[in-house]
Amino acid sequence: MSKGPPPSSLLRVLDRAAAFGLGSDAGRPVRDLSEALTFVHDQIAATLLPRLLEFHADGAHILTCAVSGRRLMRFTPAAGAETVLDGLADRDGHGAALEALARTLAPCAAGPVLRVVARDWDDPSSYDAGGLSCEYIAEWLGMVADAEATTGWDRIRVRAGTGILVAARLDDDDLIPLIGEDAGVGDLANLLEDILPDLESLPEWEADGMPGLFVFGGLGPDGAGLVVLQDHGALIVAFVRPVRIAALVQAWHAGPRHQRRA
Amino acid sequence: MTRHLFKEFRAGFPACEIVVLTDLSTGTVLAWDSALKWPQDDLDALCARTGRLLRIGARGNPDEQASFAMLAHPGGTQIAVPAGGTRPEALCGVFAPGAPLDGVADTLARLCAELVGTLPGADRAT
Repeated sequence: MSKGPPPSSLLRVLDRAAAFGLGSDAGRPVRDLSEALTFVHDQIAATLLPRLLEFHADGAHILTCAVSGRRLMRFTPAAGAETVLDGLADRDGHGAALEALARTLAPCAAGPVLRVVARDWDDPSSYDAGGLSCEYIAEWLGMVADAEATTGWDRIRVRAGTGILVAARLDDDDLIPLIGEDAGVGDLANLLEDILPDLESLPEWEADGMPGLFVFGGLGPDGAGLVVLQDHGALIVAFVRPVRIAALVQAWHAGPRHQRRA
Repeated sequence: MTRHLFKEFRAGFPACEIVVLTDLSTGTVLAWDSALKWPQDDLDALCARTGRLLRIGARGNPDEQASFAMLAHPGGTQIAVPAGGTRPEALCGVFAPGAPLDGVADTLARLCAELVGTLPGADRAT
């Protein structure tokens, strides 16, 4: 059997399927159970149409969640009984159900690659339970700190955690250390002196002020990325470990959703 | 060849809206792929911003260039990687807001290297 690339017609079908929330992602490495729970929550929060979300840890199917309208309607462990969630009828039972959900993700404590496959949910009308909203699930999962973090820097600090090596705030001409040793802040100051004129001369910046969040890979010590963002009118600059940069950008994008919830 | 590599990349990252190979020395779009047809002006603007982002921090020295440059804004995230060394090409991808970006920069860098033929033994892209 030949092992060539998939034909372009197949890729077109996969592209089209992704547009409707079907298909699978490329997988995301998670470091612990907490990140796995966050991954599952984020998938529920991103699902509007009725879908069956199959979660796989290192290729092994561990959990299927039936989701619609950003609500978890029911879930089934790979080896276990189905749990139907009805947030309206049984408000006191949520905790036990979500603890059972968390237990199905126990294999994720070893830090696998988590992958989600979204399938059509053929008969969502057969379930009349109300399900649980992704906002409720986020609170239960301990993402409250994230939800309360209403500024860009707060969200990033929560999500990137110890991945932030050094951080400082530029107020007028003063660089005020936020995280890290003075020597690291000194390195940050030197780099900032070099790049700030270039950043401020970007047409996007000149037109409307700072346009978003910048990351420059490898400009920090040991391959760390340089992150620049605006927060309450001040510039925040930080060196961040490469492995946390993707989560950091996602946290920045997640802002409006969390702000609505607050 | 190039088209197939682009398609393969976008299949691996479904949140990728467009991927563009550009020659920064001339500001030319060499190749691109997207589910939508992008106007030439928008492609040119994307390439110009790719060049500006990758010049930041380099002080005119390719050895000091960032390994990637990323700009996240409410409409999405643009990630640009240079071909490396003295090559003038760069590859840029635009991703939907909030999309998982784990491994994207590294994958873009490998794809860029493959496209411009700088990987040992790799065929030059056609």
